[in-house]
Amino acid sequence: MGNNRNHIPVEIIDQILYNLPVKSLLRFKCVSKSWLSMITDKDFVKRHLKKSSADPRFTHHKIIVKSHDKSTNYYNLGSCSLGYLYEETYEKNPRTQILIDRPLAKWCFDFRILGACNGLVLMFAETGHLFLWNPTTTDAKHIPSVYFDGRCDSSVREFMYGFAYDEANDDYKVVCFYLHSKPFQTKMYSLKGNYWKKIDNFEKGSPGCRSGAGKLVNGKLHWLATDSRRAWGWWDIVSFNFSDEKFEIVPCPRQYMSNYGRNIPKLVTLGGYLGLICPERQKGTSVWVMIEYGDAESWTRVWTTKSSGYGELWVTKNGDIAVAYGSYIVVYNGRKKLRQFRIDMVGANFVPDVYVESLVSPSTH
Amino acid sequence: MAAETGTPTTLTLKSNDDELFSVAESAAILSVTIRNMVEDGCAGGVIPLDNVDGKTLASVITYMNGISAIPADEEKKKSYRDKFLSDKDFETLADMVLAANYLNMSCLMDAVSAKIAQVMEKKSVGWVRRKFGIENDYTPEEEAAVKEEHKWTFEGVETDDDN
Repeated sequence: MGNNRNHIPVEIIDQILYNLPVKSLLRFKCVSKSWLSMITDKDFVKRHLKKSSADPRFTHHKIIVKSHDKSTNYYNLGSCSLGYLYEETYEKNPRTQILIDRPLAKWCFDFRILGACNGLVLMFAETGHLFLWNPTTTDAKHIPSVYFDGRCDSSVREFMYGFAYDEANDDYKVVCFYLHSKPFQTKMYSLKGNYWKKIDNFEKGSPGCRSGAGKLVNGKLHWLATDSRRAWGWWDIVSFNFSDEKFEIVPCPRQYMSNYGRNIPKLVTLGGYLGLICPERQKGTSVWVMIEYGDAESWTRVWTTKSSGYGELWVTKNGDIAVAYGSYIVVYNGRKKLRQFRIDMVGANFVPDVYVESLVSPSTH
Repeated sequence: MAAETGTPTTLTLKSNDDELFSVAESAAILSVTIRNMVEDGCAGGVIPLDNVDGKTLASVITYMNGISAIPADEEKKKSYRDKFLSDKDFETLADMVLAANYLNMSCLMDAVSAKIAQVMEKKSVGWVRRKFGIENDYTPEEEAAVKEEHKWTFEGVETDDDN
């Protein structure tokens, strides 16, 4: 071989590129036209995403945080490493990096994050616009407005959303309920087709508007809904299946079948499983995980805490749990508190979302 | 390197610059290419490896011996691979990835690819073109347009004088 090195075959180059982070790959699009086409190849983007998502150390997972800048009255977005929280050799609080080229800056002051999937983040701007944004590549796409009975999505309170990847159709979909209709009218957006279409009405109770955006587990979206056959305070888990576009009830833990009154349980995804954060009758919170999807008997209480304030949770393969409290993230191992971090740029009670760094493009998918 | 009594079968490998190497068959068959030759009974005399030079082959054999001496413990194997590759420069790594590909050694191939990526991560576009021998086929306008789209990814890039 010696000096004759300029014949590294394409399949080896592909394997080397596969190991690079997104930032380097975007820069190396400039190397040559063939590198550009390798890096933007759909199959490569998918393989690269799969590798990043599966990393047990969460090297490429970022927490997205939002803060208000008093001087400009704008909200800023930042990100900090999720993997860092699980490092045993941590030294200080993780650094928050300001995310650049925020796509909404031109249109609005404030926005909400409605979900993240495969490195894409669904955002709702106060102006009523919906956006799909890849914070890593800074690529963004404006989603056309959805209309119900001539009404447009001008307030996030009147609508509830879910964002997911539909693997069978290799498409990104947004599901939207109109909460001021009875029965609840529902529409679905396809990124590939760039249109909204009407789907079956939501007839599995009332979607809880405070339960937040849909949670993606097992290729299906999930929300909490109050059980219309019973008094207020009973919650069901309702799933949406992309293959038949139907809603279904997913069984809750048996012990959970109690009246929560004003204490609303929270649906979460925990290490790829569907989870429930339930307020306890006395004081405190317990966390449930459905180990075998769809099997009521497999719900397992994985964690109980005396604290009643809780935020988002994440879990590592070895079972360490990270929990957001106010502007802090605390990492637990079973019962013991391992360490805690303060997240910069964040006011009290932030709702952190996590995305994985990916090359997926909302504008050209 | 005479075979000692009681030692397992030894193979003789020949690099493309005619260096001869003795290696235990049990270590050499980490290479699927060599294993196939052994199984087909073509490994009786000297095994010629026309795509690998002596310097690279010596290094690959060090790896074969080192990794096969470690019992089935993926953590230990990984830390051996990390240490083995830690002081290698880009040229050596490029030779090794080609050799690993030719010899069909997937564990070495994966480790070297990841190591090359680690070396490249903060390098400039010019560095990559030089090291990989790639000709820039963009017009200046085209290149400027691609660069403009991802301007921020050019921040924090290392200077090129470290080779």
